[in-house]
Amino acid sequence: MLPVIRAEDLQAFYVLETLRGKKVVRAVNGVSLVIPENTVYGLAGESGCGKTTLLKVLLGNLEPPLRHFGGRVLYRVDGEYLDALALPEGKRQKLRWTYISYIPQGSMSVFNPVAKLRTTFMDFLESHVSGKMRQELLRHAEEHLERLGLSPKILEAYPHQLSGGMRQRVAIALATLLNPRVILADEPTTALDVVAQRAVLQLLSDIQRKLRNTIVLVTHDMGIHATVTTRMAIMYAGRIVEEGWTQDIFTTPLHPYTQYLIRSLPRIGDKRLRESAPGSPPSLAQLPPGCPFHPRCPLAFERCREEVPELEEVGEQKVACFLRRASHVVTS
Amino acid sequence: MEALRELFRDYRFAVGFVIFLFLVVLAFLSFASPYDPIRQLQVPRDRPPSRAHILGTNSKGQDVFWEATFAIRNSLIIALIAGLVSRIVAILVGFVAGYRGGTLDRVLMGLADGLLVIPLFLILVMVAMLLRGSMTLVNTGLLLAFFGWAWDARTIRSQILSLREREFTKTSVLSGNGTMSLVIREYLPFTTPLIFSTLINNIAWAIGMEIVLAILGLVRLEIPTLGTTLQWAITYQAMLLGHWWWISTPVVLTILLLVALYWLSVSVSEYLDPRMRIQRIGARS
Amino acid sequence: MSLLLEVQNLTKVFALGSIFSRLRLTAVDRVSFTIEEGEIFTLAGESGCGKTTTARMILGFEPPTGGTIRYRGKALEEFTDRKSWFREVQAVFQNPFETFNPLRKVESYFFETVFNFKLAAQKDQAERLIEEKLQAVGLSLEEIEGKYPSEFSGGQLQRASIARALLTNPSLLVADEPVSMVDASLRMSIVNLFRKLCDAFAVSVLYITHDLATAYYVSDRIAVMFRGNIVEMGKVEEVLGNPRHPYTRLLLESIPEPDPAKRPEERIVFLEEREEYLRAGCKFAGRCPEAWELCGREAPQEVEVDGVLVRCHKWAK
Ligand SMILES: Nc1ncnc2c1ncn2[C@@H]1O[C@H](COP(=O)(O)OP(=O)(O)O)[C@@H](O)[C@H]1O
Ligand SMILES: Nc1ncnc2c1ncn2[C@@H]1O[C@H](COP(=O)(O)OP(=O)(O)O)[C@@H](O)[C@H]1O
Ligand code: SF4
Ligand SMILES: [Mg+2]
Ligand SMILES: [Mg+2]
Repeated sequence: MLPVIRAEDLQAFYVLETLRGKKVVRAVNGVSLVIPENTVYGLAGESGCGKTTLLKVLLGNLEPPLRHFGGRVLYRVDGEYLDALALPEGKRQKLRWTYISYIPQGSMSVFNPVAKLRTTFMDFLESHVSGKMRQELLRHAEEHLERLGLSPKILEAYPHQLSGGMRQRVAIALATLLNPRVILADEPTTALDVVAQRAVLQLLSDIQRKLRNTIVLVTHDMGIHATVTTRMAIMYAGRIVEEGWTQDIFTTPLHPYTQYLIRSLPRIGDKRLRESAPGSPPSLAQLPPGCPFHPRCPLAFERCREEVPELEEVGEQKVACFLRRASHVVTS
Repeated sequence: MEALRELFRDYRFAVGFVIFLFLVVLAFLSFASPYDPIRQLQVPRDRPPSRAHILGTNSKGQDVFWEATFAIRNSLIIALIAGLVSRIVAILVGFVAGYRGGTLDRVLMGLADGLLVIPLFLILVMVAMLLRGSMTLVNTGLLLAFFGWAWDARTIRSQILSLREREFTKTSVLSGNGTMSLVIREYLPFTTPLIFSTLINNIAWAIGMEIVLAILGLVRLEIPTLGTTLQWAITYQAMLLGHWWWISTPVVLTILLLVALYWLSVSVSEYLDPRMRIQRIGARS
Repeated sequence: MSLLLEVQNLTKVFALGSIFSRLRLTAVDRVSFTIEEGEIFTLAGESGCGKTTTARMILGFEPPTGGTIRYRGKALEEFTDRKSWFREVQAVFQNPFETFNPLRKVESYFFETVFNFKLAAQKDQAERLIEEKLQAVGLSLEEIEGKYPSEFSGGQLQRASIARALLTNPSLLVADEPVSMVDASLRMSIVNLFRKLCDAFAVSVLYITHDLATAYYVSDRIAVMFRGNIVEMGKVEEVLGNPRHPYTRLLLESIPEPDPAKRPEERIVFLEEREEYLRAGCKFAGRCPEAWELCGREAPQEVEVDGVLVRCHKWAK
């Protein structure tokens, strides 16, 4: 599998001026990733661990207070690698939506609340497609919706008239109008009920199968990763702590944090006690020394408190933990 | 104190505050005036600024500087009465209409809309004409207050309406808070910036309106205010006769006052803006 | 075990659009259920099926159009002031970030509850009481003192919200989707808390959720709601272990199974809620794989099958 995106030792921090001096939030703190083409790639991690920030950096969207402190993002466009963060602004704008597109968290922000969806779709097409008539563009939008199993009648609705699940699906349709090679979807199922979640996941899988492209699916819900992703990465405190085939991660989670995430999931037919990882995640402005998970880790030992574990290969998986094997923190 | 220190970092606040303080000091100086503000021919007429009369004298035989201290004091009194009274009405009406809703809301908002759609200026002039003889400082202030609450009551009401739907309203009710404490504890922090900025704006508006009424001769002209001072200067054709010190004193003072109020209003409402406050809380951690 | 809360034929009708419009939406339609002392009762269903409206009526935030709510045999209307009701029935909400006013310190809600309900006379007495409840949820007064909501994580705020609700020693806690906005990684710690409170302090919980996996894990009995009606109700093992109503089955199939080897094959149909609410006959007929002609014509009645109430024509035969 060839990569579509490679991230090499990315570092991007929020630098904030406060009354008590400078505050640095290490939201992406040395992330290396290889995202292959033609897959649904999952990114898991609890809120505040830097998932959205990582997507922004992958998109090349670095606006103050977010600053780039090191590393590269490479896009494979027509067989060639482009350094996304070094591209001139104009070039990057061109790749936006045609090569890489982004569905932000909370789909409402994509739409103009006082305009019909048709206006949003037409504005989008008119600013990204040149040399076509309005009529042609409208037909393109309608055909696209139909291909995705959504009624083109939806274009006549206002955003607030749709349910959360429907609005999310329309946001996905909008982001895929120009058949991008990579779609970054930030928490598209959060705040939806299970039935609406299923409908959104169904749509995302359909799109991936049809376009044979890559969808990077961000969600903190491990059940969803199990349902649709092929490969996945687990993020903790601005770092990737585990990476591999979804199947492998679910059968032999290596990192203690991943083990908590998976073993705490409740299942119908099983009432035995399930425990979340103890404590809460560290502040990214004041990271603990050593492994960022050590204050919550029941298996932590001397070295964990002093040295930061690197992401290293263990068989086909990668893990950033000194134990480097499936040691069971939680039994189930 | 923390708040004041932070406000003073904003140059608009600092400058506005210094100007305003200067004007207030002027107003207080009126108590030390050697002259009666009403009596005429107390000093030689039409003298340009000099050691004895630093801003000269006017055609009525009064000292321009000492008259100005009375004028600014009286204008501030009118504006404060108008601003405070109309704020109280606006807050009461806005909170009650927004929180209670129903018929009371419709009646109160009907009243407010009534005041908003009539040509306010004409009515104000008509009422002032009727009451001409009794347009003392307090009455002028109250008259302006009567016309100054409607729009702000509406704004406050719509803010309360949206706050009422927020979840913390329910937490507060579940915590046993009654309507009064709910409104004061939960909603007031959100409405204070609005109340503050409308207070300052309303004061500025009242000062302007007083000048207009005075120029139209609709207030008691013997009481010195910024408006009546200007009115007398115009009547005696101070401009034509070259008595620039007389006419420019109220003009400069009015401009200073309005600029100071504008800057205070902008910086205070920015400081109190809930979003900014939440950000400041965030920056602490 | 004795009866704590009894809800009978609870109904709420909303008028849609302007005051002149004829369109009426029965958001909650003759809902009846009971909650025993020391029990966790789940009300489950997808969004827009009337769960929150039911909770709001039980809390007295919304007047019912019809039906009765009784607490230990005494009707809600007989509680002359709201406070005496809230002494017994407290609530936890969905969004922990909206539960507390962002401009106020979190602790102020604790002290207000204590003093408004006259639970303590002095400050130090109040502090002791607050500390006790915060400890019960795994927090301490020291951790929350002087802090604003934005300085906490969602999980911490949800714990604080539960601790505040416990101050009056209520017998019933209404929890409206208390974990749907909490991180998946911290979700179980909150769910476990409900179990613990129920076992240790005999607090009954009305647990509202769309996630049947946590419902199965934590609750004793469950009612599955669909567009205003309870369509299936009974012991959770029975209802979810052996679902009878086609809608319960749909909800169960929608849970993302935490096992990559078992990916869902079936596709689901997704309809907008308004159109389902206004349907004649069985409201689920538009999506039901087993519907036949009768379902579109006539609304099914409740029948009891092996101790489980089911509202479906298939079981009425
Ligand atoms: N605009 C911003 N300014 C300052 N800090 C931010 C900003 N956006 C996010 N952060 C901080 O960066 C960290 C990572 O945030 P984010 O990438 O949004 O996490 P996630 O998407 O995993 O929830 C958090 O600690 C958050 O508080
Ligand atoms: N105040 C209201 N006015 C009109 N319709 C409402 C109101 N509150 C809720 N509804 C409608 O009632 C139905 C049930 O809503 P709700 O109780 O919030 O469901 P849930 O909590 O299960 O998602 C929805 O169709 C919703 O649109
Ligand atoms: S490195 Fe140490 S502290 Fe970190 S997860 Fe592994 S065992 Fe736990
Ligand atoms: Mg995010
Ligand atoms: Mg709800």
